[in-house]
Amino acid sequence: MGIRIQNYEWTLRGLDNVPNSAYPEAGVQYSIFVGPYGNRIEIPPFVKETEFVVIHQFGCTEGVLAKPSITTTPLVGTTLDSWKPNGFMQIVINTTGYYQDPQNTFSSGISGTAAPYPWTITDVPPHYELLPPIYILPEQTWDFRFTMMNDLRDYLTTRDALGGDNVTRVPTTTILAQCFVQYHLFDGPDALICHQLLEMGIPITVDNVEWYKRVLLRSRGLDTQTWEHYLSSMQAYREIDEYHEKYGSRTRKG
Amino acid sequence: MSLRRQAYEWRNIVPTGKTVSNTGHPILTYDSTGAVEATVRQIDPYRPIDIMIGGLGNNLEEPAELRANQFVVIDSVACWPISSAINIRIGTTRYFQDPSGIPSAGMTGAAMPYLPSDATQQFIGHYDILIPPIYVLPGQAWGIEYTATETLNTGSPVPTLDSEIATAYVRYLLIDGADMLVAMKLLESNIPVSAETIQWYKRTLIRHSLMADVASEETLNKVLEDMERRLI
Repeated sequence: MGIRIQNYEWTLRGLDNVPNSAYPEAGVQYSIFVGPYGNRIEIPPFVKETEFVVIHQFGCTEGVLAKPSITTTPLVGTTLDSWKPNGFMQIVINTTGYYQDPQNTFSSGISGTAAPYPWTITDVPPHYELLPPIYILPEQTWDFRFTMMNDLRDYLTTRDALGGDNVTRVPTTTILAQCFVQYHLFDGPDALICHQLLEMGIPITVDNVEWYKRVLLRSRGLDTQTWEHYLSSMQAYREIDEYHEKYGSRTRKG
Repeated sequence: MSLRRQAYEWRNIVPTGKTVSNTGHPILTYDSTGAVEATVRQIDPYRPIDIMIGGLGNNLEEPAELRANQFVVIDSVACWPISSAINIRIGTTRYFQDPSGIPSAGMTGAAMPYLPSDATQQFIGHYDILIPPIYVLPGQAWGIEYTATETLNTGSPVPTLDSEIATAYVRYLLIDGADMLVAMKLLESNIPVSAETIQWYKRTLIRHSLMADVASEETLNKVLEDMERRLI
């Protein structure tokens, strides 16, 4: 399985009867893979020697105001049934943050309004598109960090301070925040092809990797490491590129 | 990371008692009834506000100015509500102007809406991307100006809906390092600067380099063929 499209969904749910400090602190970035909140994996994302990763889409719960919805039921108590996180997502590769402010400092990243997840039927296409996509090379670690700007801890503490029926718990059915990441995982020989394409400056997409494989098959085991081979491959790619441009099957989108 | 797709978002919501948050988007707290302890600041009509250093909403500490190794391509702007407009400033020049040549409020939210999640009407807008995009060259200062065409959030109320918050959004391609040199080369050749054309130019450079190598190898072989072999 050389080329696989992969998805990762992170969900932060209520934890029922836990201290308020069990929820993320507002304004602090947490990893959606190995952070202390929500579902997690054991090992931080790391691209092995035989792999190549292309991240091309992500999103998180949209909305600015939390609009908390409270239900009080006799014998059950008071529950928080919905909450909007006012979230932002930042991508970190090794130790470098992808998103920065116009003043060149590390930022919180892209908001859920610009890149919403999930989409509903009333949503227009998102404003933010990850073009060009991000390449994660072998031996690199990568991470998505989520920041919640609505202070859930403070809200629960404020309600608890009133006592009685105001003491609020968040049931496990309440989704507090969600993040989604979609990427292509190339491994084995396809990862080597990704490197060849990278060396030639050709965008790494599923189509281009498949095309290069066809070029290799046509060469029938002849030496592909010569300059002539590189040259003919690049000329062939240029012809394809010109064809797409001429017949409008692909647009030049920045 | 030489080609990066960046975005900057501005909102006029700030914690109660404040006008500006200089450290980016503020943390929003809520009272026990679920009301946000923040206000959406009043915006007077036809008074442009710089969304980065305008002293209202989330701001930066420094104005946006490109370093010597940076190049920016702004290709999408949007704002909300529809009775607002957005203009792009490069140095002291405003991008959008009216037919008489005077800088205008800019592209309106109706033409390029930045829809909140609870908008009652789903505006699609006329534009998604700016064609042609706007280039900001190394060393240039730039900014985005937000102008309301009517008074927004009169009396700076506490918002109850996302659609009551005035927002502005700009999406741009940040090119730095060696790719900035390629971008400048494309600019000199009057070729549009985008992620694709930069990659195309790099491919051309590699191809030409390979062609030169092949040609020099052939020339070398030819020269060697004509030369007498000597044993030293």
